[in-house]
Amino acid sequence: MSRLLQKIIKVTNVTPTKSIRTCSTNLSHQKSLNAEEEFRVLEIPGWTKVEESTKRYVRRKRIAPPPRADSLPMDSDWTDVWPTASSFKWSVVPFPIRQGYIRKMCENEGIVPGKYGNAELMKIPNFLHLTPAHIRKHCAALKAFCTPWPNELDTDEKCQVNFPIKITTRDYCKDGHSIRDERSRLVTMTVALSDLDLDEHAKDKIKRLVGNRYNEVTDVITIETDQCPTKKQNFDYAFYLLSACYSEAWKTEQWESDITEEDQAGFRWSSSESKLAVDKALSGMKNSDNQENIVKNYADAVSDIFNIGESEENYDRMEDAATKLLFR
Amino acid sequence: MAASISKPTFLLRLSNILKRQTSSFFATNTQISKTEEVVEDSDELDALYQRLLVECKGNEPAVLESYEKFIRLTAEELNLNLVSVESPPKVFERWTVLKSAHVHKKHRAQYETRTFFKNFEFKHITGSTADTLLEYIQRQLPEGIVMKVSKEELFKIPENFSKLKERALDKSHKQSQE
Repeated sequence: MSRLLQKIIKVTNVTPTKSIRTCSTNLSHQKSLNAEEEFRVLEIPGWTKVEESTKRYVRRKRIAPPPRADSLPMDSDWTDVWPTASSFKWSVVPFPIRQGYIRKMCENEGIVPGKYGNAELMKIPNFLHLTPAHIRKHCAALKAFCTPWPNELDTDEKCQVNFPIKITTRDYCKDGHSIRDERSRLVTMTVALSDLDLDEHAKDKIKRLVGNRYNEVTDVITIETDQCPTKKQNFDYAFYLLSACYSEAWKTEQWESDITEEDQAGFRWSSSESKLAVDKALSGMKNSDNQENIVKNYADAVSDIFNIGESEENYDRMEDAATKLLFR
Repeated sequence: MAASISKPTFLLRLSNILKRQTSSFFATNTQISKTEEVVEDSDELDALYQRLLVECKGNEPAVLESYEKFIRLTAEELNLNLVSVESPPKVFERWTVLKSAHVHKKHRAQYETRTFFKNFEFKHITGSTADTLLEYIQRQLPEGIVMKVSKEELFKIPENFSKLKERALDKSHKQSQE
């Protein structure tokens, strides 16, 4: 191999203008070549003699500063030491803390690992930026943007009287690819039927219009809107629905004159034969002080028999009411 | 009117927050100037929330507990009406699956997710207070915890309702005359 190379090199010596790339393991030939032209040479440590580079790059060793916790003065302000949320730093936290799990008593001398380089402490979200001192500082700044609740509305009843309509909206705060949430467009409106300005006819009509959105027990209309894409639109739509129902309830259409007593939702004493009979009976008698109460008592008793149902109790009530009405 | 409380203007609020942050984060010993003087009232009326329900859930009970302490202290500092703090029953969802793809029915692996809950109920809170509180507690929401906020806002019956009534009565009156 080396002989062959020697031959080639001889040839190159003759024609120096031509450059031939070669590699040689023979140092003498290589040196003679280097004198004329610079060739890259394969250096095999231990075989070829390599000149030692004069300076080797030495990485400077960084000396870690001593943990900050050691030099913290006793009266230092923790809010300055740990101002914002960050993962656990063992060097800053001045108190001893242990976290982790040891499998056997011989492991780590049976002691739960301390804070130094402890990954377990870094995994769990810490509240070192939300100590009472932090919260006090934050709240002192935030207090300027708060307004007090009016004293005139200190109870739920007062709220109900002054502001009968209640609108419930929802917001969702989560860690996800989008800050928007489909569920947040739902708007719920509740209003008590008694708070709306309605007469007997309008009340009956609005109950029929809203259907199962009216709760008989609580006397509350609940309108839920979620068909529009945004909360604002659903909010406006809820108010639109309520005003549409309200306005429609006050209208009396022509066909409503055809409604008979059987079509009514329940027994109404004021337009019944029982009322006519009572009126007739009372017309010949002199008025007493609490006649209104007695008549109302009788009317309720009769209505309950029709609306709630026939029972021993209800008949007894009607009997009492009737006796009071006729034999005062 | 009883409930006419005007809202602190937002821009001023923002500038104050920025001021506050720079002063507290970069200057250690400076006394923070009083912000009350700077806040001006706008003409916009404040919203009234009869009830504010904050529902949180997460996988770490310890973190939820710390968060509860944080909210309790915040409510105390801001003089808020924190009516109740509830911990609804935890939910463990388990899946039992075959360890291998199709065979070895006797050998199974079981996975589970644990979810813990905390509900905070505030009562009688104004719009700007609620905005401030929510901005603060949502910014400090720890990793792995989600929040749902339900607001019950109070409204009067719209003023146009009396007009609607009149118009409807007029219409039906005209119809009956025809």
